[in-house]
Amino acid sequence: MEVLELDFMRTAYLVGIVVGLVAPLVGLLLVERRMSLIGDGLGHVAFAGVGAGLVIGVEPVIAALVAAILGAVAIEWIRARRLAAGDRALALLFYSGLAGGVVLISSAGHLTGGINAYLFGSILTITDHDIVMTSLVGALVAGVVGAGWRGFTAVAIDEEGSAIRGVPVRMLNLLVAVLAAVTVAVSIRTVGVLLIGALMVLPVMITGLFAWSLRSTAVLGSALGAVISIAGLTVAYYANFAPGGTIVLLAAALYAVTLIGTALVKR
Amino acid sequence: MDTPIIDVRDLTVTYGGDVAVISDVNLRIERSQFVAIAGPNGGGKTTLLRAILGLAPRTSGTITLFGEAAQHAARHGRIGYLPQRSQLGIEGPVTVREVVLSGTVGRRGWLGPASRSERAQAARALEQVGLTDRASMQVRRLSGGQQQRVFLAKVLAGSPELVLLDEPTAGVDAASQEQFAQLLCELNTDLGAAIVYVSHEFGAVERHVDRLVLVNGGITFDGHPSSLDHRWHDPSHRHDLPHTHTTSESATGDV
Repeated sequence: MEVLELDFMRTAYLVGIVVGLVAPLVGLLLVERRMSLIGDGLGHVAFAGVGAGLVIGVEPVIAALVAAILGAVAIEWIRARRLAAGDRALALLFYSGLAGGVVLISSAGHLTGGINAYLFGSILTITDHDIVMTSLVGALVAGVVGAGWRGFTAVAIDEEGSAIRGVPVRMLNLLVAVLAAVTVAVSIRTVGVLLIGALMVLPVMITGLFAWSLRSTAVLGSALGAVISIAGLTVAYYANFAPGGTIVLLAAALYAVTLIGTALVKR
Repeated sequence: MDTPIIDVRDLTVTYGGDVAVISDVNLRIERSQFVAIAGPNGGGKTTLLRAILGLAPRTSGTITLFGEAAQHAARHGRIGYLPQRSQLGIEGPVTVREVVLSGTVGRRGWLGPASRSERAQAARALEQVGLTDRASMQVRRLSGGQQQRVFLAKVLAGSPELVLLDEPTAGVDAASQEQFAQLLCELNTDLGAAIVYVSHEFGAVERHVDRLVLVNGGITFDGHPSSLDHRWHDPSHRHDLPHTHTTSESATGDV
């Protein structure tokens, strides 16, 4: 295939596969906690980190990682206390993150075409360095999800019952939020901060239509995430589309097809 | 005298600073007792349950479980709690086996795979509620009554000495409620675990419980269901239960 002869596309595929494998694993934990939109919100906060990184001269993805983790800790703090104004506090955090990112990036003089690479992903910005970092972080995230699977799912199934049994619910919930933040940060190059939430959640929603257990949803969702990433990157290359948008639209289309297909099979 | 499994003394819980949901509650529950806590919606029975579990803040009073603070008892995995069904995460494709096995996770055991003994505990709990043949099915595909049995199995998989259930049969048909009550009675007898059953409706369990506690702002009745005034057995009069803040009338007919 012509596309595989290009160095930058091989790099993009490798990073895309890792992100596609890892994002739904974390996404499943969010969906089962009824927190499907948290990945989207963390993307907004990560964008402020990108802006801060450009202003202070730190690698934007590293700055985004720090901002997303701080955002995740704040979100979990608000959620754990079931604050009456929690929903509004989250809205304030998310919109302030996005606005802060725009202002910081404009002050650094980057508010032109370059901003789109962070918002929606860009194949051309992915480097060999990203392969190493994304693979290491992806392996770490997958390892933590695998090791803590029983605890994460016990809390998702019954948070209060688990707390009464002595399960460290707060620590596990905080860990899920941090895993989501890390996933957001490493996915910036491929799908961008505005669309990573979709890559976390949509493969899980698709496999949730036909999977037979939580474990099978995790495995199939992860595999599907990688396949959608490869397909999206390929379409994006040939059609000259933004990769993030293409990957997410493919996932959304696949969800619609699967929904109709499973409904027809059940009839 | 044995240490009671639950000991509530002079408990008052207020919300919003000055509105007492329950006040001056004293309640002792002994080992192996099967107790129903009932009362009208808004009467404070769920608040009492949540305060016992440390999930609702106390305004005043003391609560001990197994003679120690609730969080200490939880650490030893001696308590099993079944929240209201709306709080349970069963919208996804989670299977019966996955739910029940999650009941063996405690302060330890959340890291790494389930041990052989934990799998055996889960299998035994499924057998106790009669759902072994449904182990691979998704919980969302089961009826409301079967879902409640799955979550009861999850609680039992943790081998608790005290089981607390909050509105366990809400939205479940009358036949399934009766079946569930019968199951609780058998478990109480066979396993020796104390059971506290909280519900606005106690008709399904009143033939099986050792004790009925009616709560409406405080405890308005505490005794065997047979000594309860006949009019309070009628669900249509349940909202007329005396309120501890407004009347000293007792719900008992003979006092």
